[in-house]
Amino acid sequence: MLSDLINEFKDVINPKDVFNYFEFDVAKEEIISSKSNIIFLLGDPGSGKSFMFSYIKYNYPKKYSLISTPYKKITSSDLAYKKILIDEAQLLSKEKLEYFRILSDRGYQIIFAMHKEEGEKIAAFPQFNSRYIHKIYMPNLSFSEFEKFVMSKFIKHNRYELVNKKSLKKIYKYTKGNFRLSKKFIFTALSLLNFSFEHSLKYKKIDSCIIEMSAIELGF
Amino acid sequence: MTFYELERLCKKRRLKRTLLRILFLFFCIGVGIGSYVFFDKSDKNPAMVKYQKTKIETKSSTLIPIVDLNITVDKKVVKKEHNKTEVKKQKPVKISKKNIKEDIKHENKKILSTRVMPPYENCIAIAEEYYKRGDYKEAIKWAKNANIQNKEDKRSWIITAKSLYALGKKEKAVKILRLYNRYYPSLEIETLIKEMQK
Repeated sequence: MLSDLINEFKDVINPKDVFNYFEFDVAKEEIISSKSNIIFLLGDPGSGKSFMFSYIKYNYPKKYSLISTPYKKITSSDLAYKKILIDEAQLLSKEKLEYFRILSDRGYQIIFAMHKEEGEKIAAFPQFNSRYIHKIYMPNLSFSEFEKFVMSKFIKHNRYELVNKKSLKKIYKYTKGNFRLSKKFIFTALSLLNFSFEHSLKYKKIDSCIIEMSAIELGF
Repeated sequence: MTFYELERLCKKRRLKRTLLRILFLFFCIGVGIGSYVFFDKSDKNPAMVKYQKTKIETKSSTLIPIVDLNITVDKKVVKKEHNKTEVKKQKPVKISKKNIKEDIKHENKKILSTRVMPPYENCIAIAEEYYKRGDYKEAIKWAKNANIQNKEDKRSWIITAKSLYALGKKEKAVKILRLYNRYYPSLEIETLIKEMQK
């Protein structure tokens, strides 16, 4: 019944399906226009760093190389372009970090995506600290952005009656605007609502009870 | 977890929350009532009333010397007046022509009975200044203010007499000086009397 709408909130990175919000566009422009050879893209888990990289790779395929599994061996195809996007860079060993630092000295632009706290620590290493590095932060969504994101999906499927501002505020209280968590929460809520529809239960929209149940399910 | 399990847990959680809210509400109401009762009792507590009474008494007793400085008014009267003012606490004053007239009549007395009356030396200085400027009525007023504080000092008497003389009340001026001279005879006063009588 609600399967199409539920699929919209699946935790899948699809660079074709972009939700443009202010902070995302600012970060994207900064990455594209930065002259620094080492860039740190920092943010909490689920703030949209990986999506940003896949989006850049999708839009500039002949400019950027994307390494999404940095713990694996680096191949020549990974270094095909002068701009290298490295996702989950906090997993890199010291040797690999040093290797990319040397590459940056040779004219490559290295863009690391890391969790905020670990990234700050790595950026403070002397080999990075002594160089000009550019730090870009990916903040969480504000409530209005979150509302726009969710409502755009509901309107797209013509099911806007299932959710209202009050319930969105409650969800935002739990997720605090974290992109991945928000998607996960609404995915769970919609799944529960779908069950209710299928079994003709009393729940007809995402109300406080469905939100509460989703919160329990997700361990809040 | 299945849907029904989640629903049951949700209901439990919500019930718990509403119970907590009700408990909190009761607690707040209890605290409110308790504090009201406590403060209400403490107001009626005989010990508190006694304390307040003694507070008023001590207030009035400390006030007496300030007002009474050298004024020859009965202490009992002053006490009574002060207690009245403390206990009754300012009845709304009706301003009428009568009141204003009375005020003017007893202007000097009222000035003197206030706590803000300047000390003797200042009163004399003000009286002298008015006398020099030729404002004899004001000079008399301030000389009286000084005189009530200290009757022994001749300066207030002299200023009053001189001012009266200047206003054309020769006899009254001489009378005042003679009265003073009877108790505190001095050459200066005598010569002044003679000058006025010329």
